[in-house]
Amino acid sequence: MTAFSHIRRPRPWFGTVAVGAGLVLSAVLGCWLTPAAAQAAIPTMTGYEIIARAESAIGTDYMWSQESWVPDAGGDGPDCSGLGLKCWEVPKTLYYQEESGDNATFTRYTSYSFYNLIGPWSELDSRSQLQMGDILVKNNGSTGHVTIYYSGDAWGSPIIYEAPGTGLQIRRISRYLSSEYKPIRRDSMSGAGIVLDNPTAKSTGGTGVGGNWTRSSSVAGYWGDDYQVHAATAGTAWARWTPRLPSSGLYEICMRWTAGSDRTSGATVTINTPSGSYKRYINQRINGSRWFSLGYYNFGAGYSPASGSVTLSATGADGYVIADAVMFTPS
Amino acid sequence: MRLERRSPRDPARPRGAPRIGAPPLIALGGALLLLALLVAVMLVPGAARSAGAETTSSTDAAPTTTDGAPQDTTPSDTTPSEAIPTDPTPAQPSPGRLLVTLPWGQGTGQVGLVRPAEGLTRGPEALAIAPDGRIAVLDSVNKRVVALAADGSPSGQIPLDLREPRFLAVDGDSIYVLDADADRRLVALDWQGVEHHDAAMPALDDVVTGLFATTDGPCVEVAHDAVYLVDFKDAGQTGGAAKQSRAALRAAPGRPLDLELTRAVKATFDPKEGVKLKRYKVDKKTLKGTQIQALAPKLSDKAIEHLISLDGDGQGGIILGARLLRAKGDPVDAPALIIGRLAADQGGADPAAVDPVLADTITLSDSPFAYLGEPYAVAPDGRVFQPVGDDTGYSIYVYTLPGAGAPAATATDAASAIAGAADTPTATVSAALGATLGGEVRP
Repeated sequence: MTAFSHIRRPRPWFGTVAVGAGLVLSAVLGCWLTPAAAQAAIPTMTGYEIIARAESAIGTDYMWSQESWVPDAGGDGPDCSGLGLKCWEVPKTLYYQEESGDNATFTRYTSYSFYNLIGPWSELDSRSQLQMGDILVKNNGSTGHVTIYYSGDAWGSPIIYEAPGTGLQIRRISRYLSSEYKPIRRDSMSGAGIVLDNPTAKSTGGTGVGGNWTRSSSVAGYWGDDYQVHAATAGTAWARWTPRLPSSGLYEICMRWTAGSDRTSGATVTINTPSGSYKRYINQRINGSRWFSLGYYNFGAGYSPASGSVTLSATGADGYVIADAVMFTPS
Repeated sequence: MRLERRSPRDPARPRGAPRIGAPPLIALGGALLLLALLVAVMLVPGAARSAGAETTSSTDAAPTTTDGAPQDTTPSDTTPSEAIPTDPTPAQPSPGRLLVTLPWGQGTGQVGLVRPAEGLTRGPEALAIAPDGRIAVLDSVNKRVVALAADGSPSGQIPLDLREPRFLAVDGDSIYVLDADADRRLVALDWQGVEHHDAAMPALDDVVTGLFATTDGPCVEVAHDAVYLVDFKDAGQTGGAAKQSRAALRAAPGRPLDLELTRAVKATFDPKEGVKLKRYKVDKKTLKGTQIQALAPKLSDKAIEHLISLDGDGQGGIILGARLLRAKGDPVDAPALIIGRLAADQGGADPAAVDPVLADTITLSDSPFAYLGEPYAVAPDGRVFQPVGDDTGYSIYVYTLPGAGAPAATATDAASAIAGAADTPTATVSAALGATLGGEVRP
């Protein structure tokens, strides 16, 4: 195994033909179907991933026309549709610090797009069908707003995330949503539970794509679209997953990676809980492409990077460290 | 790198890109639509007239009468209270009385409006009524409280040093304002604008859903569930190092039903289980509640989306409000809110066995123009005050629930004052300016 095994390999010829045929078929169908039906596939997500992303934006400042933010750190944040498109990972996966302008072909959805179903999502029959991670959106032609639904409270009243406007911060609140707000749901939703993929990890380093963790899909068996890689380092390099836990109690923590002989034999994983932080060491040369249990831990309810998260560190490792996904399972 | 925002009209389609297959489909669809409309108009003239009536219902909700009779707000199609209605939800919104319209702006007697292209269009985010009928409007955009006399005329304004004030509660002496999001501070003032407390709020388990005034201090509600009485004793007076003191929270059994906090109520709603109410008698010293009633009241035969309000009616009863569940395609201006009154004597000797139907209900459309906080506020005497926004400004309409009887003694004067101010034009209100509160007044 080479030191560059995380670099994408060329596709086999039959794959290229299949993709080409698919593109031709899509182009033909696109002439008959609506623009929404011609949308590219989007990654499968869990509602918990959408909510974890929204939580990480709380306290950042509303910035019109933008969609990037540094998780859990305040500072510049997104506008309302920027919050929506990044939490939904549409039309593509955007890492936390990534701004849409990094890609010239990027389609910037707005409240108009969400409201008028111009994208890979559809309207619900009523708000009674709302689930975690859905969007409530309004647009009357001159003004529009996007909010992300979390759940109903004891009254069934919606708790939402929103980027309200200039001078205000991204927030999680309970507030009345008038009849103009339409409930919509993203395509490709998964009921896999509290699973957070690598794009929903805060990582160290810079404001580029994924910080200083490189995106890769060269070794199969990863969760979602890809995984992230960091070389062994003496410096600071970590990735941290923080879900919003629905209730306090005991959770099993599992982690995924893709195995290889160039991986580390002892990456440090820290499970941050209300009663303290617990270190575990994982050998990523084995046990790849499956959920590997790191044990059971008590957590509180809610979102807490300090006491309700899992951190994977590349510091002091003896090979590449793979950050793919983490799962919290209540028991 | 930041990209310039494309037109919100069709941002997903690059400039110059053709619409895929749209022209022939639009032409065909348009022709079919025109044909269908023509047939409908020719065959069903009654339906067309009916639709026209619906579009004017919002105008009907703003009566132009000036006689001010307090009971003239009873909707004509309300089912008599002695009969169990098959559908107690009237088809049309109930009429209300326009109390005042405050123009948008930053000046005296005005309230702020923010209308971003992408973001929350918002005006004042809370409205509260004192037992004597005075009204406080939380002018969130301008970061101030605008005080109104019982007749709706502006009487002053109090600036606030809070970034995101969203919650407001008042009694005869105090005005409480809470910023639960950015500053997480609770401020207590009097109606003259003098600040008495400014306390940092302790961490709460979940989102704040309500702020209430009692004679023992303000109560904060979390996620429409837990209620806490805020104790300012540890917070100290405003000024110096004590300004950022921490307020202590004491758990209360539920939402206060009266200013004295001798009664409290708690509610839950589930689409399958419906509304469940528990009424408590409160021990003033310990704040412990003794359950005195458990009910499952029925507001409407129509499905409910969620509860909105739960308040005392000033006579020992409860006023309960909810949002009606809407289906895809329902018109935006259809009735969305239903509010009913549960009289103090409803429930009988064995209240747990009785599920009363609330026949004395009114329905309202909501106000989609801007976010104005909760869609209505209930006064201590049981009257319902609805803020409505449009291009002209922020209007307050007043409704009296059918069968509510005479207002409580403390509100009689206020009701009379409101009666005299019905349909108060903006010009009249503006002329009434001048009386200001003791604090700083913006010109």
